[in-house]
Amino acid sequence: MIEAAQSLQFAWFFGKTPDITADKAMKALLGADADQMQTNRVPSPQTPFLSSALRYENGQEFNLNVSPGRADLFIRPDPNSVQPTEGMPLINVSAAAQDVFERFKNGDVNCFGSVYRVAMVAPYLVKCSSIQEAQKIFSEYVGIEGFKEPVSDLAFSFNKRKVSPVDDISLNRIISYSASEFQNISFSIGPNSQENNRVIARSYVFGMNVDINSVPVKDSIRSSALLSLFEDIFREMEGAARLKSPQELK
Amino acid sequence: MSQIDNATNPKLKENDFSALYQWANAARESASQISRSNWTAHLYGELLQALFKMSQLPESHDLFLHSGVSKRAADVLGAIQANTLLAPPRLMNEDGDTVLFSWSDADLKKYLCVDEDDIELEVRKLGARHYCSEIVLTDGAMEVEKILQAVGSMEKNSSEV
Repeated sequence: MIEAAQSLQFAWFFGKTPDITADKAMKALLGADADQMQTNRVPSPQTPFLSSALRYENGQEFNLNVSPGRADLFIRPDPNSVQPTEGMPLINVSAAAQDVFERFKNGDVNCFGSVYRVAMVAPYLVKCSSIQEAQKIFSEYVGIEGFKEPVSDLAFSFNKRKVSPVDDISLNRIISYSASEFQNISFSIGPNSQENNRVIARSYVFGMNVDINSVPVKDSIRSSALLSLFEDIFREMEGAARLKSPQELK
Repeated sequence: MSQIDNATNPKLKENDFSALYQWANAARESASQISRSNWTAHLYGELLQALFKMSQLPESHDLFLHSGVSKRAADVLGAIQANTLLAPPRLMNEDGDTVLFSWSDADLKKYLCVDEDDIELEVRKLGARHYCSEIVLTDGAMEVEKILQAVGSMEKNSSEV
């Protein structure tokens, strides 16, 4: 089972964007104050109407964005707790999700009002020693033979819908496999204004992006069913993380 | 209430968008796809920014847009971005109290007109006098399902922006 991911994302979709700002929503959802709060104003932001809250806790960053039609909560490794030379920081998805669900139970998962769609996304990663190893894992998962010549940009994705037992709401289960190389690049200006950019870390990964989301429902999801729906989505997410091939997905 | 300027056109039932598209001889896309490109997502962001900028102009400015209309139009755009694979629409500000989103498709022009109370769909055949329109929502209501039915696009199955 793959357990580590770059982030864990929860998303709420609403027809009428509520007036609640990201810091208040963070307090309602997680029962904790934001360390930073920003409401974007024209002309600077590319995403107007958006309010964004950040909180750092136990080596994790909680980032909540409220924008027209949707709100997204991201849980990522705290970038300040990781050296850039250590390569790609990851979180344990199960531990992060359990922690958030406990907070939701004590908080208000319905703080955005009427919601017609929800989602959870985790870009799971397996760190590899070389791109060849990443491509070998990719080939085993997807079930294709090894390539005779070097290749790059390997990717395969599929969607298998399922009806959730929670109010019979249909779920998209989108799983995307890839084999990739990531580079951390240090940008600096040296003497005589010469650029001195260099790669300080290189990571090879087999990636499995899991996006489980409900299809839009008429009217809205019952408020008393919202937490159960998120929990069911998480069960699907964990099931996807256990897969050894796309065909195993029931 | 439907408005049809040609007696040969079908009588539309309320919110019967399939009949409207049938009349316009434009098949609605019913297939689905996983996600859209980053560039398209960026263009949607530019549209939101334009809406917000117009709402911040002085009331005397030609492009001033009432904040209630701007917010409702942003919600409509957010719903379309989140759930469809439609290309970003063109944006028009009509007298500061209505926003028109428009899409061109071959010989067809589709307008979604948004004001504080109503949302209306209008479909025109280019080069012809014919047009057809249908009220989508009234009284400031927001039902995403009806908006998605009205704009008639492929579903976006992923939850990406």
